[in-house]
Formats: sequence, C-alpha cells, structure tokens
Amino acid sequence: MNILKQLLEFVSYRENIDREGFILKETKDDQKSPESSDKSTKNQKTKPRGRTFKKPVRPSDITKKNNTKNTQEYYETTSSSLEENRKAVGKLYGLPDNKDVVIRDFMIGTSDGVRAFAVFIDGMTDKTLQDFLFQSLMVFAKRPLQTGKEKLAGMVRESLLPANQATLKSRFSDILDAVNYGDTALFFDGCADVLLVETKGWEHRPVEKPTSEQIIRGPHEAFTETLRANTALLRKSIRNEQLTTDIVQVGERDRRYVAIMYLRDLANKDLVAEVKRRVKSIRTDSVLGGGILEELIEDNPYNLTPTSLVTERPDRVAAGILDGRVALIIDGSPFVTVVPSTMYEQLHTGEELYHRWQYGTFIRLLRALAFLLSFLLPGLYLSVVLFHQEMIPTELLLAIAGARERVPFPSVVEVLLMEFSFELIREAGLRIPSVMGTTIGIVGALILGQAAVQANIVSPILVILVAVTGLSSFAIPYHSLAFSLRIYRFMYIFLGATLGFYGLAMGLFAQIILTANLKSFGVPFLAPTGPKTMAGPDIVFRLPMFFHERRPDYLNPQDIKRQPKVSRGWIRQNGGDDNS
Amino acid sequence: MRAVKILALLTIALALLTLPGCYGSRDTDEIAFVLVMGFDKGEKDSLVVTLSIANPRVFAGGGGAGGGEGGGGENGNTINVSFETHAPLTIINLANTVVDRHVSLLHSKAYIFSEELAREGLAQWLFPLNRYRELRETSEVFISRGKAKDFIEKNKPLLEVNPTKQFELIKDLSSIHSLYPSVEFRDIYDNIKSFSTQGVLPLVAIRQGDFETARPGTGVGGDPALGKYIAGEIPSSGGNPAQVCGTAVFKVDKMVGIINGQETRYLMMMRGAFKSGVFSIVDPFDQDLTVGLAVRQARAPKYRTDIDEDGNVAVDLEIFLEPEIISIKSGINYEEPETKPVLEEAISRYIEEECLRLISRTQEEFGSDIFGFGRYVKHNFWTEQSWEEFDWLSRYPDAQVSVTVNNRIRRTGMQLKTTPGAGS
Repeated sequence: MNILKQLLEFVSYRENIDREGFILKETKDDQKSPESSDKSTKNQKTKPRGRTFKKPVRPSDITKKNNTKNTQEYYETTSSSLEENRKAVGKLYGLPDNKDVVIRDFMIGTSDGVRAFAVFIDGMTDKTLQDFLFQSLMVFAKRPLQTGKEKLAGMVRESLLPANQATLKSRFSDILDAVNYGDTALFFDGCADVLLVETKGWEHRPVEKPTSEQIIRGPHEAFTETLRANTALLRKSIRNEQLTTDIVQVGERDRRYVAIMYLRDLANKDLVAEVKRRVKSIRTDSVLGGGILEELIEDNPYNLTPTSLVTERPDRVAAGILDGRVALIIDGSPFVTVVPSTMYEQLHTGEELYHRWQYGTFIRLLRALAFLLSFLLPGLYLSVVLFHQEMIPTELLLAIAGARERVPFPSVVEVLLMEFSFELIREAGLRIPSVMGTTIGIVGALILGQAAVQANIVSPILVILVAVTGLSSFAIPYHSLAFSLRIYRFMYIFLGATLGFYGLAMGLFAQIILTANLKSFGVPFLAPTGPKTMAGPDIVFRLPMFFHERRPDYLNPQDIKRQPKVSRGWIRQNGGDDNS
Repeated sequence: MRAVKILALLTIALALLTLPGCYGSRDTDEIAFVLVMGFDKGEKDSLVVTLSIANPRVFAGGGGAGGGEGGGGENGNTINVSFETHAPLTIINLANTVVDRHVSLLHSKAYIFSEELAREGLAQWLFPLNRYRELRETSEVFISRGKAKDFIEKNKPLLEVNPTKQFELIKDLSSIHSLYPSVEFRDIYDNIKSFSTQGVLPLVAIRQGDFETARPGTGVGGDPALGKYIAGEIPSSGGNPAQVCGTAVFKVDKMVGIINGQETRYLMMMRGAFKSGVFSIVDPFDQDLTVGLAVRQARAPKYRTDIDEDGNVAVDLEIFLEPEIISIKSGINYEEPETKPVLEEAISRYIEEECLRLISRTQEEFGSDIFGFGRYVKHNFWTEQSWEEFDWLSRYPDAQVSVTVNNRIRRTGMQLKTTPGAGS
C-alpha cells in the first residue's frame, strides 16, 4: 500500500501552495450565497413554473442597500459649517486616498474675509476658467459683504462670479454629480448652499470625419464622445426652438447622462413618453455605450435583426428627428441611437437625398440587390450545384464542374472554408494594428485568393462568389444589419446544402415571418410594406424632393405634412413668392 | 409546457429535414452530364444508345491547372460511349457499368435518331423519354442520315468548347436561313399524338468526301435555289464535317420521306414559322441571271378553309412576304416603280409554284399534313369527337389547297438605284 501511495504521488499532481503569491478570495457575499440560493429554490418550488420566474434577491444585497442608504442619509444635505462639509466631502470622495480630487482652501477677498474651499477633479476642469474663478473671488472681490453669511453663496453667484453657469445646491448627490462631471463646487463658511460653477474642460476628441459611414456628398461631421458636443451638433443641424433635449441619468454606479432629443411639436407624444419611460426604468450598473442602452430598451432582443438605428452622422439623426423620431445620445459614445427604425430606413444612408433623385434611386436598387445577395448567394450556389444542376445553363454548369474537378472537398466544405476565411480576414482586418494594416491585404488577396486556387483547395468560381457576397455585405450601410445578414448567411448555407431550394424557401419564409413580427417602439419593422401603410416617396425609390409632401405615416407624427402640394412656388405663372 | 414546446419544435425541424427526401445532393464531380443522346438500330438487341458525356476537366480553363494533362485538344471535351440495349432509358443504369460517375440526363440537349430507326417508327423510343423526369422537353431532336453513333463521334464543332452550344446555336440559326426546322422534343411528341398536324425533324449528317462528291451537281442555268441540298450532300470542304439541312417528314411516328433545305423554307412559310432567308430567283428580264433577295415573312399567313357536304376540304392559303433586294446581277434598275412590280410578280409566282409543288409532294408522295392545315380545318367542327371522326389525316391527300403569295419589296439594300456598267 505504501509503495503504491508513493508511486501515485509520483504521477499525480499536487498544487504547490507556496508558489501562489496572491489568491483572490471569495467575498463574504459569495461565501454566503450557496445557503441563500438553496432557500430561494425552496421557495421557488412552491410557485408554478414558467414565465413568472423572479430573480431571487440575495439577503446580503438587501442589507447592503440599507447600508448605503444610511451613509447617504448621513451626508444628504450640506451643513452651514465649513468643517463639517469638508469632512463630508473627504468621506464621500475617500480622501486622502483619492488623489485626483482636489480641495482648494481660500479666503474670499471681501473686507471681512470669509473662508471657503473649492472641490473639483483635476483633469476634468478647464484650468483657465478656474483661474478666472479664483481671481474674481480672491483678488477682485473687494466689495464688503452686504448680506449675512447664510446668503453668501447666492450673493457670490449674483454679483461676484462672472461664470456662465452657476447654480446653488444643497444636496450632496447633486453636488457630487456635478463635480464628477467637471464642475467646481464652492463651499462657503456659514452658508449651507453650495455654489456649483461650470468649469467642464477635459481632454476630448474634436469633431472629426465619420469613419464607419463615409459619404461623398453631405456633411462630413461625426459625433464625438462628448455629450454636449453631440447635442450641439444636432442643434446646429436643426435650428428650431422646438428641439428638446431631455437629459436622464442612467446607471447606478456609473451615473451617465443620456440625452433624449426630439421635436416637441412633431414627435408623437406617446412615443416620447415611451422612450423616456424605458430609459428611465433601467436599473443597471453602467451603460457604457449606445449598444448597451439599445439592447436594454429594444423590443425584440432575441431576434437577430436590429430594431434601432445607430449612426455617427448628425445629419442622419437630424433627418430622423425631423421625421418625428427620437434620438438617444449617450455620454461617451460617438454613436447616436434613433428610434423607431424600420428595415427600409436601415438600408438608407441619407446620402441618396443629397444626390439627385435618379442617382439616389439607382443606388437604392443596387443596395436592394446587395441586400439579397449578401445572405442568399452562397446558399443559392450550394443548392444549385448540389441539387438543381438543371437550373443553370449547361455552359455555366460545366464551367463550375470543371473548376471543381481538382478540388478535394465537397462543395459545402469548400464554401464554408472560404466563408470562414473571409470572416477571419474581416475580423482580423478590423483588429489588426494600423501599422500592420497592409499585411491583411497581402494575406487576404494573395494567400486566400490566388494560392488557394492554385493549390486546388477551392475553385476560382467560389472565390468570385465569396468576394461578391462580401462586397454585397459591405454595401449594406448599417453595420448591425449587415452583421445580422452575415449570420443568416451561414444558416442559408446549411439549408441550401441540406435541402436545396426547398430549404432556402423554408428559411426565407421563416426569416420573413420573424422579421415581420418585429416592432421598434410600436412601429412594425417592415413598415410600410408589412403591414401595408401609405407608401412614402422615400422608401425603395427615392422620388424627387417636391413629392416629399408627407412624413412617414407609420411614425404618426403630430404634423404629417412636410410641405404643401406645390413646394416649388416658382412653377406658378403668377409670381409665387408666398407659397400659398 | 416549455419542454413540450421545444420538443415539438425539434420534431418539426427534424421532420422537415428528413421527410422531404432531399437526399439527391450530389457534387458536380460525382456526376457525368450527358449532353447528346444518339439512338440507332441495334444488331442483337433492338437499340444502340450513344451518350456524349461532358468532360468537365476541359472546361476548367484559366491558369496553369487546365492546360497540362487535360484531354487531347478539341476532341477531349466529350467522351462517347455506346450501349446495345432494348429501351432508351436502361442506359441510366447500364451506363454506370462503364462510366464511373452518376449518369445524369439533366443537361441532355439533343436526341439524335438514325434514319433507319425513324423509318420503323419513333413512338416506342420517344414516349419513355417523355416520362422520365430528368429529361427536358425543350431538347432538340434530330434525324441522322446514317448512324447517329457515327454522327456523334465524327461531329467536331471546332468553334465550340462546349458541345451543347452547337445545338443551341443550330436552333438559333434555323430562324436565320430556315433551311431546317428547329424542333423541340415536345413539338414532335405533340405532333405524333395530334389529329391535325404531322411532325417534321431536321436532318443531320456527316459529310462524305468533298465538293466533287456532293450529290446534286451544280449545273449552270439549273435551279438557282441555294437550299436544294440535304444534310451530308452540301458541297463544303474543311471545318466540321457535320451538316444540318433539310427535313425528315413523318407520318404519325414513322419517317416517310425527306425534303431538302429549299423545300423546308416553303414548309416554314406555310407554317407561318419562316423568319428570314436568302433566295435567288431567275431574273424576269434575263433568264440566265439571278436576283438575290433576303426574304422575311411580313405577317402570319392567312388560312381559309371550307368543307362541302361530301367532306371535300378546300384550303386557301395566303402568304405575306417582304423581300429585300441584295443583289441584281443583270444591272436592271428594279428600284424603279415600273420594274419593281415585275420583280414582285416574279417572286410571288416562283414561290407559289414551289409551294404548290411541295404540297403536291406531301399529298402524293408522303400523304402527310406537315403544314398543320388541320389546325385550321378543325375550326369547322364543333366538337373534338366529330373532328377526330372526320379523320383529317387520311383525307389530306385529297384536299384542295391553293396558295397565294403577296410580297412587297420595301428595301433595296444599301443602294437606291441600279445603273448598268459604263460599257453596256
């Protein structure tokens, strides 16, 4: 036995505990959890199974919430004592561990010198602005105090500070939000109100050219990561006082601003209310970008097809808002979400409107073809080659057969191989550091295109096919839609290879039904064709501008009329200065 | 419930995958595509079937891959195999004893029957082809003078890489010169079953020898018709020895005779299927010379039929042509309003005569209504039964047929006026 044990020890693995310097131990919450989850499942068993499933709440969560409430209550409002406020701020920001939060003590330069301190975060504020601030308070404020100390903050705001935005707050939550967002908070001795001065000024990317949605004609501006810059870009596009920017905070830990923009007298009121309701109802840790918010407010998150439009171009968003849509701008995301959105709209770029209508229509039709090719072509090829050889001309068939003659794989494997390589190039091309960018071209074009054919791994016809499919996929302007079609493509490859045209028909039927079932904020995704509503001038064809008399019917805007029947006043013989 | 739902969905999905019977998936490199099928009379068994199978390796084309070892030059693009058997479709299995791939008839573009087989009757060979699902009804059917096997083996379309293209082009060319009809499988099948029309098939043959051996010698001052030949006898030299010209005339399913290319044109005119063709007619003012005309059918022919109490049928046929002058050897100004009607009259008379000669041939020699006059005679009957009882096909030889040709020369080629040479 002993020998056996020793032998076993030779071959078996034992962890060397000494070598592990650091172990990430479970937190107390986690250690408790098995017990609590047991409890919850017990409770669960009595309930009927099905959709009514509720996520069990950990007891620890409840206690934690209570704790946080307690601390917040403790520091809910500011006090009139400067010392106490200072202590509170220090506690809330975890000073002195937190190094980039700055507390600056100073005396106001009035005759009887009031003590005060400023709180701001280094790097989030504009230094020149702050210099002005301190100058005006410490150097130029020579007037004697006219009021009592309790009104000091108000007085400073009214007569001492030449800042463009300054508000009085007394709740710590407000103050912290503002300071976290680059404002400077001024605490005065003996005054319970805190003056918040706008000094936002962090390093940010300027407005640049769009990178993922390039156009030839039309504005070459793209959104950036700064919320205010983005809202300003939209303001710049829509010069109308009815344009409303409602700002909502989303996220518990990372409290992020989300701007909801719409035209007050145009967008359907219920739609605006619904968007606000959905955004406000979100309880989550953090909404880091547009995609996350989109997923949280989407109607059909399980369907492949995206039901909201995301764009980086202000002109597209402006066009949407002018139709009666609602735009959602998330701070820190250079992409803006527009809801509701239909499939036809997702196949537009907006550029068609900038071109003359004939060109726009041509591009739309081309894109419609690309839309179909991008997910059907490989499946179609497979079903023709494997099942329905009689459907193509003899010469084409023999050309395909001849090219495939030396290929050692069945057609399905060949197609999958090529599609897989193409997807790899696509993904790698996106991730590759731009310094090595040229490599991808060489690898893609030479190795996959030419060498694979020369080595008889794939037939040259297939390379063309995959290239056309890829090009079609890139011709779809909306990235998310193109992505969904990329995935559908593999389904059609499977269907085409196993069931031929019958499979394709089945797949199309299912896809059409699934897509027709979608809704985006109450608007059917395939509107205006499924369900059929009033045809617009700008759906598949792009009619001349003077026919665009009505806004999209399915959006139910407050004002459906976009322009009068005769929008070109000059075509009337008798003058036509007024458009009546 | 949820589990049941998922299970039900899975079952449906599985059923959809397995039940439709889509097991026919076959890669192109597992299939041998038959392009042309030839049928001959057998020695021991009743039938010899020749398959012309495409060799896809030749079509690989591009790059260094194709050239190397791929079959020998222009001959390599098809592989011909023959089987002696008793039915046309037994070869689906029989061929696989020789050919190592699944034989597929999906792309067979032409069926070639030998004259010998056709004279005995085609019904028993054509009908099985109609039923089998891999065969298409739009394939072309030909009659080969001599053995179909020889024709397939010796036919070398030098311009085509793809052998089926030859047959597709043959079909197209019929409308250019009308020296042979283009007949699809469904046409001949219908005609065999028809009570009103009889079938025709184009003739193909391999040329024997050269100019000298061409049969109806080209004598000076003889018949100027350019299409007085039948396949295999056209004086040509070089190129592909395969020739297509003339028509095999059928009575029900039996071949009863041959009409030459020129007669085929009149046949097409009277059927209303004539598209265009170059004619030479004797110059009305100079019997030794000819006038060249590019003739088109201006309108569909008009048929007037009548049956008297005794059941005698009279058919009046009016043909409308639109000739264009392409050559005047005599130098007579036929563009002039005075001379043009003379030429038009000559054309009408010439074509009328030729048509009547062909009609009398079909009535006396073949006894077969290949023009489809029956389709119009049928209009005099109220019911299908009475029409069938009338037995038009046996009455056709006794029918009175008259032909009127109307023509109007609308174009005179690239020339508006003809003036004689300086010396004359």
